[in-house]
Amino acid sequence: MFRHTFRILLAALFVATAAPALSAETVRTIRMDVSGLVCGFCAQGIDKQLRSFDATRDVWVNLARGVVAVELDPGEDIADEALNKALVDAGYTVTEIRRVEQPLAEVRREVERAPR
Amino acid sequence: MTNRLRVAAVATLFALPFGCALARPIAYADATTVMGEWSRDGRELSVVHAPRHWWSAGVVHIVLDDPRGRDQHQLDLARANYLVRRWNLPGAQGNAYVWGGVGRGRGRGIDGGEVAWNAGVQLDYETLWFYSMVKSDWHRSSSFRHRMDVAQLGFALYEHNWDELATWVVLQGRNMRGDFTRETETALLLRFFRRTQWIEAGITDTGGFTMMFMVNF
Repeated sequence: MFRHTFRILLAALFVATAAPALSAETVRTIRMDVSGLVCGFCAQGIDKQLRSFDATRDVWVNLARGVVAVELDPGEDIADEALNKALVDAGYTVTEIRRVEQPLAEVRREVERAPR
Repeated sequence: MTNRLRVAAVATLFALPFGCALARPIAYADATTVMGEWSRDGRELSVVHAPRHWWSAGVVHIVLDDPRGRDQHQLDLARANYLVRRWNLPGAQGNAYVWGGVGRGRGRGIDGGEVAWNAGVQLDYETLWFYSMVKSDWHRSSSFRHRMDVAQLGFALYEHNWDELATWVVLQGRNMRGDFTRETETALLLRFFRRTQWIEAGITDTGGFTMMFMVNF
């Protein structure tokens, strides 16, 4: 009886610990707050720079909130230093970089709904 | 409605499908920009490429007309633009640009052309709703000189993102001094832009029509 319960607990523990590994397919998005983001040319230049990374799946720029978001390919990432360099090379200043386990569309909804 | 107003209205309607509130000598890194300008006293067409966000270079063809119709000066120049300083602020940006060019100038009484040069400076400040710009542009050759100082104030009619059509109302003041003219004019312009296309058109206090476009590739 004890042996049987132990096996069930062990199986449950395996499933629980395996879950994060299985979520390697979870979509990750990098959200950046950027200063100086006021015009279409700014957005176009940033979009072009960020799409040049192999890990980039999609890019979104919101001028009104000063937010740039990059959706990554599953299991991929772009180092903060590389992101910062890309934005500086485009002519802008990054004030914050965050990574969230959400698709870009969800980040976009959150940013657009957030109070200013 | 006068004929000139009709022309301006039609031109702005044609501009509707067309993307920065500010005409900049450098668009963004790795962009090639085609820009054109028409006004009562001149026309300009330029093609420039920006390898980096802080400099660009290209060629420009400028035609300056004598308002009395007695003469015309044409300039073909190679020109470079340089971003001296950029101020990135939360929700705003300021820039200081300079440019310089050299090439050939042609006009009535000039055989085979002569060396001509151009130099200018521009300061701007822009938010999503407001922008201001002052610039000074000099054109010279041994037999010709022309200077134009421009100030612009613009207001966005509604909030927009870069992939949506933006509409601005712009008030422009222009002072021209040189061999052809010495006058000041004001103009009311409508500016539209979306993504990489940008166009503005308007009328001046002297009843003239003015138009400008910019496309980035």
